[in-house]
Formats: sequence, C-alpha cells, structure tokens
Amino acid sequence: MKTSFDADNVSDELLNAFVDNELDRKEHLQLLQTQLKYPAIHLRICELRQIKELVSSARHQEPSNHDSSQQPRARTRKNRSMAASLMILVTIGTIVFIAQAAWLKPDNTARYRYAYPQIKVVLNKLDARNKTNIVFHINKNNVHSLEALFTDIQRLLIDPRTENKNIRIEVLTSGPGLPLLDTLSEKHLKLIQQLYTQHENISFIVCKQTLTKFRKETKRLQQLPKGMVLTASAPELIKLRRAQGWNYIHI
Amino acid sequence: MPLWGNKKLHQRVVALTPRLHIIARSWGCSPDLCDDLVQETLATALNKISQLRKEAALEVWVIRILTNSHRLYLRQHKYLSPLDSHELIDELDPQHSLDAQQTIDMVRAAIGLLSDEQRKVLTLVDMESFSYQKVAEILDIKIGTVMSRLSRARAQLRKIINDISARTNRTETQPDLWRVK
Repeated sequence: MKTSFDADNVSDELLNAFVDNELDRKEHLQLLQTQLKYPAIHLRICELRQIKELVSSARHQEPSNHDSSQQPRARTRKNRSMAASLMILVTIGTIVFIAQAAWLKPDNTARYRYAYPQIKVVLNKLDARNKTNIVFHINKNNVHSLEALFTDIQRLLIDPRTENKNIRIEVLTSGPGLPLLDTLSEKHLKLIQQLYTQHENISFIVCKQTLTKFRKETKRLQQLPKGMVLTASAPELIKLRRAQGWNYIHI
Repeated sequence: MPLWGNKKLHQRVVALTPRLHIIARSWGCSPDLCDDLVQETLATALNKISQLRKEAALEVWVIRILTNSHRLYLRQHKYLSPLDSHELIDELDPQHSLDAQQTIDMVRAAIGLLSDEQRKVLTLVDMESFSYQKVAEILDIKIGTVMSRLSRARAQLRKIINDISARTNRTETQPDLWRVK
C-alpha cells in the first residue's frame, strides 16, 4: 500500500481539502507522510493555512442592532392588506398631528435654515428611496464655520428626509483646517464622540499628510480626538468620492 | 405534523438573522443591502417553509435562499463592488489597530476583488465553516466545483495580499520628496 503521494501528484485541490479537513482518514495520513517527505509541500500547506486563518479573522461581527427575536415582515396578501390599512390610518393620523402641531407650535425642523444652503439642495433632490452621500471638507481655520457645520449636521441627522438613514456623511479635515482639531473645546469633542457613537452613517476623517506635517512642525495633536480616522490623502479621497457620485460641500 | 405549523422552526429561521447578515456582509454587500437581502430571505423562508423536506437541512436551505436573492440582486443591478477601495485607518490604540485592523481591512478588500463565485465559496468555507458538501448544496454546484473554486480563490487571494503588502512596504520605505523652488 502506498503510504504517501508523489510530490508531482499533489494537486492544489487536494492540499486545500487537507487544510479543510475534508479528506478521508487514508488520504489524510498519506498527505501527512508526504509533507514530512517534501518540505515544499509542507510550505504550501502552511501558506494555505495562513490564508484560511486570515479569511476567518476577517469575518464580520454580528450586527449590534439586530434583535433576533424580532419577527420579519411576512409578505402575505392578508398581511399586506392589513399593513396598507394600517398605513392609511397612520398617514391620516400623522397628517392630523402635523397639522395640529403646525397650528399650535411652529415646527423647528421644517423651518430650520441650514448655514450651508448646498445641504438644502442635496435634500431636495432626495426622495424616500434614494440614498445620498455628502463629504464636508473643512480646510479653513475658522471655528465659526465649524460650529455652523456641527449644527447643520445635527439638524441633518434628525431631518425627516434622512430619518431612514439613507444618507452617509463624511467630515474631512485637511490643509489649513487641521489646526482646528487642536483647538477643539470639550463641548466639540463631546459632540464629535456623540455623533460618532450614535450614528453609524457619519465618519470624521483627517488627512494623514497634513497631520504628519502639523505634528512635525508643532509637536502637537499627537493623539486625534476619539472617533476620528485617517485617510492617506485628502485630495485623493475627494477625487474618489466625487467619482463615486458623492456631494461635495466645501466649508 | 407539517413543518409549516412548527413554531420552533419559525424561531430557528428567525434566529439565523445575525448569521445571514454576516454572510451577506462577507460577500461585499453594504449594511443597507444586507438588511434588504436578509429581510427578503427570511420572508421567503417563512412563506415557503412547507417546501422544506428535512428539518435538519434548515440552515443550508435558508442560506441557499440568501444566495438566490443575492444572485437575483446582482442580475438586476449593474454590479459595482461596494467595498471601499479607499482605506481608512483608525489611529486610536495604534499598536493594536495598525496590526490587527489594517490586516482585517486588507483581507476584506482583497476578498472583495475576487469573483462573486470564488468569494461565496471561500467565505462559506473559511468564515462560516461549512463542509464542502454543504457549500455544494447551498450553491447548487458539484463538490468538485467547490474544490476548484476554493483552490483558485485562495491562490488568487494570496496573490492579491502579496501585491498589497509589497505596495505598502514600497510606500513606507520611499523617502519623502520635496519640491525645491
């Protein structure tokens, strides 16, 4: 009986099956013998194991917002008609409520005027099914612009048109805007962290090139505020986002 | 007792939600698309649960529905890889994130560059630990096809990862360029 394979007869499929523990006992033992005999085979097996480990480690985590006990929508005809009736009732109720609210008390959300009117343009283009992405680019060292932006973003995230999270926001800081990060107050830092933890559709990004230069010159900002990530190059990111159809708003 | 009347079976289908989400994410779907696909899969599974022949095969059956929903989506939409080609680096906890998170991001990006067929086999075997037999059932292909696709996928992945690593090392060792006026 053959106790091992010839080195030339060992196919990649066989090695993969060995790594995945898919061979029967006889083949498994034969391949164990083969790898002892031929270091090159042993090396190939090690590489395959490494790849398997890497892929396994890249598995996504369970989504935190999933409640497995929640029943999904069953799309039966009966349920659809019930849902439709319910929706009509809810719609009528909502209209009545909004009308009353508008009559008794002004609706701040509807009346809010964005400091950056481009946001309004983007929102007007947005319908219920559509999705949109905005990159806000801060490259001026002006704290008032930053404050206006934060207020706009907070409003944008509670705007009825973006309630179903059909919007993704990136706040990119680079160039002359970077020193702003060094002067952020406690209030700003808390706000950034709050936005970052409460809304998964917003990212705060910093240009690595500018940051490196800033650190070299000033020895400051050795640690970025929590919730901020780096991009290798802001212009490259902007170019990419524009190519991907993102709305670009310069602050 | 008919399977469709089994409340426990319904619960088992619903309990698969997080896993379906993870699988769809590993195929490169955005979180929104994952939600849609998983929702579609669960609704189909619950509606057609009477068609399930063996209770033990529930998991494979549901993931097969997910595969079909994803295939249908790809056919209906011009497929653009939703994986972000622009790497974002988390600078907090640098020691850990540089090594671990960057590697994970790189591997995910590399998996995103594989063909859809290869990616599905690879993720089902390596991330979900399904046997070749089960993957063959889920994807409705022969075991031989699973083996060859997996083999090609790992070879391709190794090549992509080596390319990315080589490029990264080259960038790190390059000296800074200064423009002299």
